[in-house]
Amino acid sequence: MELIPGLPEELGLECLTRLPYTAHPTAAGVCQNWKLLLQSPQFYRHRSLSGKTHKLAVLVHSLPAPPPAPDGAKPPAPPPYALAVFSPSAGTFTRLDAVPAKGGLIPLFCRLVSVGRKLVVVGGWDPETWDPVSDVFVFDFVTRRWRRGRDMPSKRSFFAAGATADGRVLVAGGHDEGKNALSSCWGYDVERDEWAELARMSEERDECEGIVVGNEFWVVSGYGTERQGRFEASAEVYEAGTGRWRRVEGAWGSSRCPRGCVGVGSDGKLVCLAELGGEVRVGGYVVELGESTLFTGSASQGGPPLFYLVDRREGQNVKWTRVDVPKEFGGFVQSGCCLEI
Amino acid sequence: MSTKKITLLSSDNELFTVDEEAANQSLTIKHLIEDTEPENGVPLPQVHSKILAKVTEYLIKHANEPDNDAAAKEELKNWDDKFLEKVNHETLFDLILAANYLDIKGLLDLTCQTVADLMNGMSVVEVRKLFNIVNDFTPEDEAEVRKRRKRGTKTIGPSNDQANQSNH
Repeated sequence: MELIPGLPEELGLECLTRLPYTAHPTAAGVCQNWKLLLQSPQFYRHRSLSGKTHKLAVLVHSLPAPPPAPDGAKPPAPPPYALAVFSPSAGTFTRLDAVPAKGGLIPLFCRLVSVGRKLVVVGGWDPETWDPVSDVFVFDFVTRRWRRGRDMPSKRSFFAAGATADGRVLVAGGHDEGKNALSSCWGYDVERDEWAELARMSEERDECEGIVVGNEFWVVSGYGTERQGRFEASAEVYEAGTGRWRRVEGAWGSSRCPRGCVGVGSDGKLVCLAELGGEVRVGGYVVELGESTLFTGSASQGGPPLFYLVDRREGQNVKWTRVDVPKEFGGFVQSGCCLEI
Repeated sequence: MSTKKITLLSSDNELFTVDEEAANQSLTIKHLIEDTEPENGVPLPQVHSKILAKVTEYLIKHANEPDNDAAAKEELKNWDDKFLEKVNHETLFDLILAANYLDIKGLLDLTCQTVADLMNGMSVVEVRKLFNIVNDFTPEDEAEVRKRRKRGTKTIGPSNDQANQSNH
């Protein structure tokens, strides 16, 4: 049978190629033919070649507390965090299947990194014991299946994570189980499911932030063990070609903690999004989405989460567009990444 | 700018006249008139007048595409949205076939995107009904899908089944 009755095969394919990704899970349930198509890598290559891919923001966010039961009974504790996918072009939020961890609980403060059409969830804390974990989970956006990845070789908290242009996940800085700030860095090859130690940064960087600028992975600010909370102005850039780090002095112009507020200005320099005059000032998270940037957080300490798309294209004033978020997706964002599919 | 007129002949023998510049967006027409222009209009035996009327409306509007004018681009985008707003399913498919036959890239893109966007926010059953697609999953397949969905919801908290299914 044709993909779409009444249209020749290639035209039915043209229609399905343009389907927003958030509608794919539904489409895969329509019939066998569509399911096979939507779960084939060729389909996504065709989408990419036709320029029909979309940038999505994948987010770990807190779930709202369930309403109290009418009889006063304590409701079963829901998992506090879940994964969501936001499509800036369609303006929609969808749920992602839970990670294959015990009870489906995603580690607290884990980091999200995308490599191609795969999402990698790395590190964080056990949601029950709050002990650091070295878990790695990989979600394939084509087959829509999770798998467990090889564990991180060592446990670290509040590290920077990102992807290199050659498709490796990098984790750098943060602190170890003895609360010692780290300068070490490891790379994870998603296809081979292998970790390898990379060159160390020039100094320890606890609570640093990772961001991809152009094609390069930057580790921004952070502080050494002895400098608790006094954030460095420098950043380090991983050069994938040589495997070395390049130090950039004065890259972080803010005294703030860089976590969740580093963006890239139209001039290519780092900016603190909480200091651009917008409504979001604390507890934020940034996901760079190409033409625009998703910035979430609160106006003041303890305030409700707000979601904005920030447009900072060259030669234009900063434009803030409030995103309308359904209640079940409106929690605080802990981590996120951009994924193009 | 050329103001030469081109006459098009639909399958039911209706004539449509457009500027050459508008007509040339169709690579098929462009090739047909390259050597000699047929006396009684360019015959398009695969396109009915009802569809050709819509196609020429599109060609005329898109004859002078704005390059760098953001406001004009926005206006054209709004026009495109309105152009297919009240078009029924059958006409939309006929427009896709015509855009493909006449090789009009912009119109093919617009009509295919419209079909894709129709599905946004629909349930599986609604999509099947929209396109007249037969559900060929075995009961076992369906049970597996339900199980997966249930496993997902159980682990992501209350009342998310809808979010999983309907993509609002």
